[in-house]
Amino acid sequence: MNNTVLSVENLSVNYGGIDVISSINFKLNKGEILGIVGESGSGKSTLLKTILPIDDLGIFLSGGKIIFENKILSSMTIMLRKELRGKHIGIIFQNPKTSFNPIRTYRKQFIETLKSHGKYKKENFENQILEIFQNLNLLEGQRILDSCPYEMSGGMNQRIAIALSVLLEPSLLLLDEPTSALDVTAQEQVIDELLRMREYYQTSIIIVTHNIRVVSKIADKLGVMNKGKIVEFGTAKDVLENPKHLYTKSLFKAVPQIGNLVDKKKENKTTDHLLELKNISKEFQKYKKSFQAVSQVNMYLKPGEILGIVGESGSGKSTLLKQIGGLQKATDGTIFFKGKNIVLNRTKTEFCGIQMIFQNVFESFNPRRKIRSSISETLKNLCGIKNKIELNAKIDSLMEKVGLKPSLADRYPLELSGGQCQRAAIARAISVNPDLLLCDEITSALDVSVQSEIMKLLIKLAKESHMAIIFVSHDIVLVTNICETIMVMHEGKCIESGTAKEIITNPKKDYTKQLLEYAFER
Amino acid sequence: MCRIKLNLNNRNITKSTVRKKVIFFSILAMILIFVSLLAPYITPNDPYATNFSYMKSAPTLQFIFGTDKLGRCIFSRVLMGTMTSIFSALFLVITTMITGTTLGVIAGYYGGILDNLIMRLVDILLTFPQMVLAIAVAGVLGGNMTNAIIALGITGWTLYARLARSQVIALKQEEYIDAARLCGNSSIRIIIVHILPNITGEIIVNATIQIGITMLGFAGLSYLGLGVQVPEAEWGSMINEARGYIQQAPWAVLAPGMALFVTVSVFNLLGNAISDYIGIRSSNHE
Amino acid sequence: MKNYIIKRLAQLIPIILGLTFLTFALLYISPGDPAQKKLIAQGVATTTEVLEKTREEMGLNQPFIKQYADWLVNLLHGDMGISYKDGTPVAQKLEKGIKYTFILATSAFVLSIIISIPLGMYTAVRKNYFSDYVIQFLCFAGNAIPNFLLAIILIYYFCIRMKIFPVIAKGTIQGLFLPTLALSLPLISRFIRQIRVAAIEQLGKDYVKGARARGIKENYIIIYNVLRNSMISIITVLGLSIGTLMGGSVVIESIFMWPGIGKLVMDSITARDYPVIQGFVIIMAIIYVVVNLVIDICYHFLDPRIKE
Repeated sequence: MNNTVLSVENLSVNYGGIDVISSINFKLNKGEILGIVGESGSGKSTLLKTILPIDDLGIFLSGGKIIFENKILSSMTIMLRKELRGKHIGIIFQNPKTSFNPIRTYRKQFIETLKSHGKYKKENFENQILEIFQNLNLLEGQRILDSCPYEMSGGMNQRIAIALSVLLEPSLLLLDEPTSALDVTAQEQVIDELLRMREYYQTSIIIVTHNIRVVSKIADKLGVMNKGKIVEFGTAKDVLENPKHLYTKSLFKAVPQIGNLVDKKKENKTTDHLLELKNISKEFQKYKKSFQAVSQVNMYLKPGEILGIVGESGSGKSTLLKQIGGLQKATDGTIFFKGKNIVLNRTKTEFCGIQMIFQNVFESFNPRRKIRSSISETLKNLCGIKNKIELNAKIDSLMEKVGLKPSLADRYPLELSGGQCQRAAIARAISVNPDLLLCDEITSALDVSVQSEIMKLLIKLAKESHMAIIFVSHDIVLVTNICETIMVMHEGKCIESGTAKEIITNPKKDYTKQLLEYAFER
Repeated sequence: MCRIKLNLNNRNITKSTVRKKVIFFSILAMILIFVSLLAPYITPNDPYATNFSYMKSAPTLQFIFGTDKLGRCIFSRVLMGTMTSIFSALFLVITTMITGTTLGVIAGYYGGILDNLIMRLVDILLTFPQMVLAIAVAGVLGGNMTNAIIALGITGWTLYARLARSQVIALKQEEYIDAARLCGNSSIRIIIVHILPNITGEIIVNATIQIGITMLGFAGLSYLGLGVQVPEAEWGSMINEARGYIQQAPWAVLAPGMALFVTVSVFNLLGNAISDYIGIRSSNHE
Repeated sequence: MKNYIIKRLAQLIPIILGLTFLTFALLYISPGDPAQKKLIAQGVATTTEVLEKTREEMGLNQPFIKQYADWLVNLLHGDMGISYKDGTPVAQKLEKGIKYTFILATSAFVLSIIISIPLGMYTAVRKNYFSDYVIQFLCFAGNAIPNFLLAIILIYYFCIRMKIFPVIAKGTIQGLFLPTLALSLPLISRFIRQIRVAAIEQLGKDYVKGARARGIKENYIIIYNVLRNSMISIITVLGLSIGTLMGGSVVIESIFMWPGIGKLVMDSITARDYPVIQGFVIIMAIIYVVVNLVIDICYHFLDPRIKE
């Protein structure tokens, strides 16, 4: 019996006159999981869209064949291919919140799906679903059915979407970055669910992602894509342990590994604290209920120290940073900076002391103004430089300092790449020579290779100017690369803090242990 | 990467056609505004001169839109009507836009008591349907153009206040506003340099669409005898005057009617084109 | 839900107070002395003596706030004052008209919804097809044409030329047709455009993509998902357009001689019968507020995401 579910032969795809995918070959057997990794723009999502088109996006097959269960997909009409959706090939998208209509109950949407495929039987509908939920380890099936997607977390939504696709018994499931919007804990659950799905239903799976960690845990076979080509293909074990292609090697190298762990805090001549937080709390009003985003956080920071704050989304780490940066008023508590109590309305010297860089690379610059005018605003306001020639010279030197050509300053933010834009944001922040730099998930929107460059830059800058940094991230491994001390936040509280080595080698709290387990298990 | 670039290219193509559309309708609107300014000098006949030998005459070379029951040249009167219609609509829209936006930005940016005060006033005014209040106010104050402007303006500004407020509140979440604060900018500078330029687009689109709506409002008031008083030329009142003898002289109704329709259309189309150009959907309000 | 409704009702109190205050003030911004206006409306000669007596009767010599309070208490008892013109209670006059206005406005509103929802969804699904352009063009025209011109043209063709309908509606069923049409055409144009925009926005959402990927039938997607979710944004537009409908009914009623309160208020404006105008504004505003309250509640019902 032919065991091949999908085979792609010499596939090339043309998008608006440009080849986005060229000569791709692979075969996928029943019950196999194929991982495809690559950075943004490598054509990995286009590959999925070519196998099962959802809307007519002008993707044009310029060569090759796609054979699915002995049917040649590539020569079928669109109408016929639509028939395959759901029933034979399932697709799960990146943003879990959007795969369901947010305001209809799951029950209605499940019934609708089954009806569309003529599979709805009122009598055993519920049993059928509950059985699947049980197999996939989704608890409280009844409650899930009667809730709406907007009430569920992203991870739950993604898992329910997978459960729904199981219901239709497809032989192939395509997943487009299914975990990138999720926290590590939720990622882990989705991975577990996919493995269960394979076990119970023998579904073949293609998972496309930039997250090498996820792939390493799940895939049997692994393909690495770059610029529309699969540069390396083999069993996951082979590729991961013994990469042959240059690109694969550089890609794997850029993935953060545990750095040299610092055990002792740096010798400091001064014992004064640069920053001291006392019982900082922040409450939000959400739907008339108060909600503690940050509660009772105490913290010290010495001059030149690099502190990492780790936590999942909603842990209050970004909110805490905003309190320190003076962008939000704390509900309670005091902040001392250089021994002085600072409040919401900062003076110029205080602004010069603390600067901040943000997560959403492109949104941290006013889209209507050139980079140069945004940076010069800081210089004019805080350093009092008014002379135009002096300003331009200063900006040029700043740009060079962060590794950008000075001419890039005359562009608008959207005309730069993500990495360039983030460098410009760093240039703006260090233009006032701050004593403390706050970094809020500054690399999470960037590709791994860009991420590692930005990290190197930060370390260099910190060393040069003896600047303290608070580096907030969800990625505990990344944090160990740069930070001497680490603080773990969970549900608004600081649950553990210590030197990087203490935290990594000897975590005390279960939550920290779990975070580490997910991060390192391979 | 390639895909993103391509999308940009596509957008550029449509953007250039949309830009042409904006320019085209702006020119049309400018022509209309010019006509309204020059109206007294370019009328072929005296719009107020009655001529009893040419009563209800069909369109001729001398009177291209015909004459009304007093023998006045309808074309000249329609031209004079542009002055009242366009001028008062523009005046009203611009003043309400400025007041509304200012109040909305203040409410949105500062929040607190100011926000509460301004928004409660808006809430109270919004309980009155605009035309209902306008008819009552103009009816009580007595019909003339100033009163009609007041009547429509009382509620007119609330649209911009609500719009500006919600936009400012959304913008305040943007990281570049946070970044601007870290740069040591004062609140006023942040409002002027970073917030206003980013909300003007939507405000202008709504204002342009309001021009048409306001014109229809004025014409409605004048039609009811609550705007411009006879014998002064205004499209709404001309239609009202002429509807009695529509059987004998349909042009006396149709000419001002078409003028109104075309002018409103031009400003509406301009609004649509601008909103396509900026890439936002107007919240086509009352 | 119950709590929400109670809360909204409580919020209404200050708003209704503000509304009544402004309406009461309306009479005081009018130029001239109310007593004199009353006498003129009644056609009585205004000697100083009579004037003073009337002022006393109307309570004009009392402080403004006291006058407002008295007026408000009367209003709560359903007493809106007495018409200057013929001395009948204003409430009685309005009561007669409101029935007709209600019939006209409701039929126009229902007609608009029946026509615009299917057409709006159709244009959204057939976006950029020929039929979409035709409907869009018609809607555009419908938005730019003043309702009084439309009414006059309708009368000219259907009543004078073709003699199908009576020129003067007089509140008969036969006479209802043209005013309804004249009143609803601008609304239909606006609704279709709004529904189209909302539905196109929903069609672009990822959940539609997700549903298609699961192979859900297109009509399930359109009716149960897209239409339902678009209703959330459309329903506020529906509420606001009740205001347009009220303003429009004044014009349309006076053109078609439909005996509703719109025509009544125009007659009262001509006769300078201010208490009637005041009563009209109050009634309209209160109806408008109540309708929008109902719509807000529907909104919460449709969108469970907004919890109290």
